[in-house]
Amino acid sequence: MKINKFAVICLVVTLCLASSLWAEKEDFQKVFKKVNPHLVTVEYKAEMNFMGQSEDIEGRVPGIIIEGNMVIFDGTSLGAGHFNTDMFGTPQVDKPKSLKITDYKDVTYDAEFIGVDDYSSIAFCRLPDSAKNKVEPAEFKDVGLELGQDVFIFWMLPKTYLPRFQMSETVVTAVLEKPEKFYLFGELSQDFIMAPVVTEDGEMAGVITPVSQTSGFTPFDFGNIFGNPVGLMPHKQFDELLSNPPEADKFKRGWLGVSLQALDPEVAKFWNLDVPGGIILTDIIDKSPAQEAGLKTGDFIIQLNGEPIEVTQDENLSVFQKKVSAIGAGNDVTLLTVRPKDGGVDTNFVTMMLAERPVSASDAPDFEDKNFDLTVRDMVFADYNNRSLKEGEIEGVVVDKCEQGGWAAVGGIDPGMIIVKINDRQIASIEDYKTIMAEVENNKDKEVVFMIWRANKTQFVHVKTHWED
Amino acid sequence: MKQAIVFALLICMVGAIPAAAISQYQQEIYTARDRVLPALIHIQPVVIDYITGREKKHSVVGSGVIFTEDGYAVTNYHVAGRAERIICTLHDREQVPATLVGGDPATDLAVIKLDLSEYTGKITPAVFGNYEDLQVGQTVLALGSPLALSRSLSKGVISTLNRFFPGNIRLPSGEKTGKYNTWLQTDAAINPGNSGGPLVNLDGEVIGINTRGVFFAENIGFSIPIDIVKAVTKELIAHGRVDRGWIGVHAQPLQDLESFFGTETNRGVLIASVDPGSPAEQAGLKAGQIIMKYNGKDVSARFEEELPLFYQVIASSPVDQDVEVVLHNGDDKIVKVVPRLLGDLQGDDFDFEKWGFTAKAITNQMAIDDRLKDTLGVYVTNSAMAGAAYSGGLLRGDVIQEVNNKKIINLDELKTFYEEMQEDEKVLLTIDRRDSRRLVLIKLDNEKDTDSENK
Repeated sequence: MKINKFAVICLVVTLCLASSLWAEKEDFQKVFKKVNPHLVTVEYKAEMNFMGQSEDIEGRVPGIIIEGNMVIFDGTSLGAGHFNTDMFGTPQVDKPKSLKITDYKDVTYDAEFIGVDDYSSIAFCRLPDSAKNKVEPAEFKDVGLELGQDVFIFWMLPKTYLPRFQMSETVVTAVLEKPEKFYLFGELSQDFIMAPVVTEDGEMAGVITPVSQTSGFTPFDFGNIFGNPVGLMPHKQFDELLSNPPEADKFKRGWLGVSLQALDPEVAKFWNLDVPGGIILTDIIDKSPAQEAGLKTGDFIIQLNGEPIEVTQDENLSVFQKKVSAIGAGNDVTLLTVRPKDGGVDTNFVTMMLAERPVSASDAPDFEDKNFDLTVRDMVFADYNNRSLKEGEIEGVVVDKCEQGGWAAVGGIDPGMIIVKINDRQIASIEDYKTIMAEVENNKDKEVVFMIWRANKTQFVHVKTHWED
Repeated sequence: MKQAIVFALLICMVGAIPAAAISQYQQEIYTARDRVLPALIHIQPVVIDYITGREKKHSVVGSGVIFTEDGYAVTNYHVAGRAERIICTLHDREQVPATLVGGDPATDLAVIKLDLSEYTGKITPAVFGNYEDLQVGQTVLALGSPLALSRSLSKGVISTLNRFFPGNIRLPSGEKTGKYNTWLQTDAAINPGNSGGPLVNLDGEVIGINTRGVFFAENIGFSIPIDIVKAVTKELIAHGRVDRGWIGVHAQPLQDLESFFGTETNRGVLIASVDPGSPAEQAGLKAGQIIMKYNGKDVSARFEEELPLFYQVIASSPVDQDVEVVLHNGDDKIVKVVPRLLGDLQGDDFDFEKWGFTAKAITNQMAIDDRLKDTLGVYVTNSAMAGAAYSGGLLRGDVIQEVNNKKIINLDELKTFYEEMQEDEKVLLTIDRRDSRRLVLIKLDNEKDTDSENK
């Protein structure tokens, strides 16, 4: 019998292809089985504020279970940080009122919100004790990816689907080295934020985050004005964050108390200084660590803990800010500073202990006055800073919300105003506000006169009340 | 038959009465028109602006009205107040040049003088009417060049006599306007180009200068009342400017607040705010005090329409000498305040063309309005797109404090540095932006050229 060589070759090729496809299918399934148990969906309910009006919102975002009975999830829409504030410094979205976590077995838990990291937009919540030993925390690995390397990305499916995630194979399309490490995968949409990226070996290399917020890129850098670019933040960059989530009583972000400008090397040459970049201090906050260490407006910082600062454009300042923030309050930093002077510079190493970052507007104590349909809160550092005021220059409470048609709104109170007096009595905190308004309610006063501060001027606002009999 | 005759007569009467009334009304309009039309002018000034970061000249169109036989005409400040040259077209379509006599941005009025040396026609100046005689509902005519359509007339009524706008309307050149006057509101059509033209009554007297309309509204226009026009034009002809006293208080109406402050209705003016470093602050005046008398005059502002009158009283007070302010505090309290000159609302402009930005001198009022620390430095009007300053990050509102580490006190010092600067010199500006002090490097094009040649 004559063997047809061609037929044999065809058979061998077919068997090889089939086995490789079989192997690839096996790989796919292994990776999915390994990663899927760590993935959850997070349903939140929150209150959104816009121009002093509030509205209830809800959303569903992907999350990953991590050690410590916690879940990290997409916090881009939860503005608990410093970035997501409107023109009055008021958070656009309040902390979630409720969080429901559903795991791959379709078990749902009520979780407790912890906070959002400003730079990565990674949000944290804690699962109830009942979830311990039932959920499977993910383990991230420091994996160096290469240009052109195949990886898997997981993303969330609509609510009615089971399983809740699907995976697809993609390829690393760019490895960013500056201003910091980041991997891109072509043009991913915002829907991929918090999607885990997994190697073919099933190692979780990190999660997709907005590139701009962490590295200071702007949407315009990518020619896309409709959304921030997203990419993989390698595990190394958020490892510290995972073990120190932004919980008030656990980890305090570090704060120097300065305003910054990037040091263009061309500007440095003006003082015959040859540096790859750095920071110019444009303002020093009173009583801040920077002021107490003797730093002055106009000083340059060219090293942070021995590492040169290669920031040359303002857009990349967050690379420096993130490092300072991550070092944490109570820890020392050593800065190499340069003070320009006539005909040269003075160079100094300055060591200082970082302070806690001031309370943000969203963390300030507030009070909802249901009679006047008004929500006020204590003044925080940002309120003074945004209004070019020295801290403590005026005392009062900030109007956060003012519902249309309410007594206060009809009388002429607007969000963003600072109430400095009520009926000629000084207001320094929401406690003062509560005390006076309790008396107003008790007496059923027919009118209340607010003295408010807005745009560097004071004025009086007369509000009529309509108590029900 | 008798009934038919009576019926026919009735029809004639009914028909005749309105026909006669319309005819008389129409005749009044014609008469008014003929009285003011010979004084109407179409104005084409060439104005200079600096708002784009470059000194730019452009031709605009407005209206005006001649009010003296020797050719003085009034128009708006925003039409001709910053004009480099002015061409006027008269009622007979002859053109004559004109020069700027003076402008008052606070009331948005300007006076120009027509050069009639080569004009052979006859000038018939318009007559100013009286504000006190005006009534809501009174028929008025607006004349001017809406959308550059010269010698146009529209008709309406006075909708209200004393509309108030808070004094924070900004003219294109940056000055705040409207603090010292209320406005006549009219439904006579007022469009862009009507600015500076007369609003006249049926006697043909000018009762206002048409100044602004409201976009997307149906015939809501505003004119500066004639009493303000009379006072301001007199000052502009005499001194080329209007000087006002200033103490730095901001008042608010007392309506509904009388019982809280314990004052009588229609008595006193409430101080809402006091400018830092102002004469009022130095005299110890504070928000929440009520001024009962100023410089011997009783003052009152229960409603917002009364605020301009109070500001006029302050504006007319003598400067650099004690003025008595009587405050209400149960027992009348007297405070001495020393008013200062209000001064220019905006400073002189300059185009730093090589550096790619425009800037202006800082006046006292600019420092207050823009919340600057003081008047030291130079205010950046704007950076020209794609210019050297723009690339370096210089923004509108920055205040230049130093150039190449040399302190800059005012615009003249910066101009001197600019003019004496060597062509290839680098320029490092130290600027204040709100509370921060930043560095801006200006890389000049000739420097880049030198670099590329070296390569």
